[in-house]
Amino acid sequence: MDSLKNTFYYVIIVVPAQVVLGLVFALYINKRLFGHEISRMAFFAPFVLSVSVVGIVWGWILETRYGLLNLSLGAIGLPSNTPWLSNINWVMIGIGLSSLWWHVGISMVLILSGLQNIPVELREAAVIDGANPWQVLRHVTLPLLRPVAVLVFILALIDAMKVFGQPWFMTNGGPAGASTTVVYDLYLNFQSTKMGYASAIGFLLLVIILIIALIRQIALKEDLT
Amino acid sequence: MTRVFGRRIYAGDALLWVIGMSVTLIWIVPLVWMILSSFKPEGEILTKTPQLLPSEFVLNHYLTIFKQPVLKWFINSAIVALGGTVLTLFVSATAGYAFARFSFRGKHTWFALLLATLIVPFEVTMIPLYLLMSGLHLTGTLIAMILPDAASAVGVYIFRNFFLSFPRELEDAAAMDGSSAWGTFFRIALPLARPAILAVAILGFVGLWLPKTLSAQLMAFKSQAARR
Repeated sequence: MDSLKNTFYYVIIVVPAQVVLGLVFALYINKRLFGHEISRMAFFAPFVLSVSVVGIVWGWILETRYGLLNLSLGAIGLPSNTPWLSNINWVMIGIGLSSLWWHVGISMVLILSGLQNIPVELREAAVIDGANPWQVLRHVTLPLLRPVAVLVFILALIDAMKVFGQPWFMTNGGPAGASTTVVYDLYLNFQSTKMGYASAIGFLLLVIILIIALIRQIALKEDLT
Repeated sequence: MTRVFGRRIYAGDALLWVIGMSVTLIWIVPLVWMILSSFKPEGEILTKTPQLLPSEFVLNHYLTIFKQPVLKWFINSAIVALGGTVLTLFVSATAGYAFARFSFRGKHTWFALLLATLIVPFEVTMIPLYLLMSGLHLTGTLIAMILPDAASAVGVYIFRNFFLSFPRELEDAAAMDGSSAWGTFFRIALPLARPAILAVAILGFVGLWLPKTLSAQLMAFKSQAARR
């Protein structure tokens, strides 16, 4: 099933990027440098937009010849003819960029709340014992962040499995079906009143997401022991 | 380490600040660009050399919006969002209260089942929902957009947890004075549950107000009544 393959490809591109970038943003905001409130708002703001707005705006930005992204890349001397949305190999990366911009804010906010729950004393103790900032991050902050990180990862994963609006607004599932995701496939069959096939896709998606939720349960149980 | 305005500035922090602010700017660009584009003349939106500011501010696009029955769409959205929020509040508050206060058979199983619905994506229930609505002859009506959201597992969960931490003595006192279960709920428990009501109302309203591509598509399917 091609749509399943496309969706997994999208998940592999988007989910790790969303979690890692969310972590980096949260660590930056948590340093509370001058103006961090502005950055926090800017990173979270896209999340409140609806998918139709994101799809239309990024459809312009990713346009191959006159899109803002390619023109900006050209201005700083990088290759400026990447067919973000019109090439089979690039289309998921293009859609992934828009999703990253849209959803990194929620990952950041969740990780930030996790960071603020870590007692300052633990980090202070590590510093007194002579740990450098990298060691504090690697051996104190990150291990304590694991439960939140698992939650963020699973939420991002479920979200990415259900991707629908971006291909619908930006590419119509094309080119040559390269951005037809599971839910988009379901929608197409629903539209052409092939209800049975559409229901089967829906059930398959449910099974996959249930398995993901089960993995989360196991991952978190392990944390308790 | 240097001092600026009497504050200590570390070189590493300054570098981090520059990077952070640059990324912040990049993050804002699509939003700003969208807003400024709405004031540009049609030909200036996609050009070889992008202009951040429009050469002249054009209000045409906004006039085009208001030539369409925007007020009607707005009222539709308002009915769905407000009606849905009120219904969600009622269902969540009563169900949450029952889960927190009453003991009945299979209570924990029912609650676990309710929470399990959280992991079912909307896309999975879309088709059964459509068949259900079509069986009730509700497709193409606004009611069909309100009803599926009336039962909110998150709402029930928030209310249950609130009522579990709520002092039982207040309700016991009301019962001693001869208040019925409904009376206690409406006169004692609900007025004191304002934080939970606000949380559920905001969640519900935002969820219902944002354009829901799928449900709108679903309900408009085969019937155009909601658009007119």
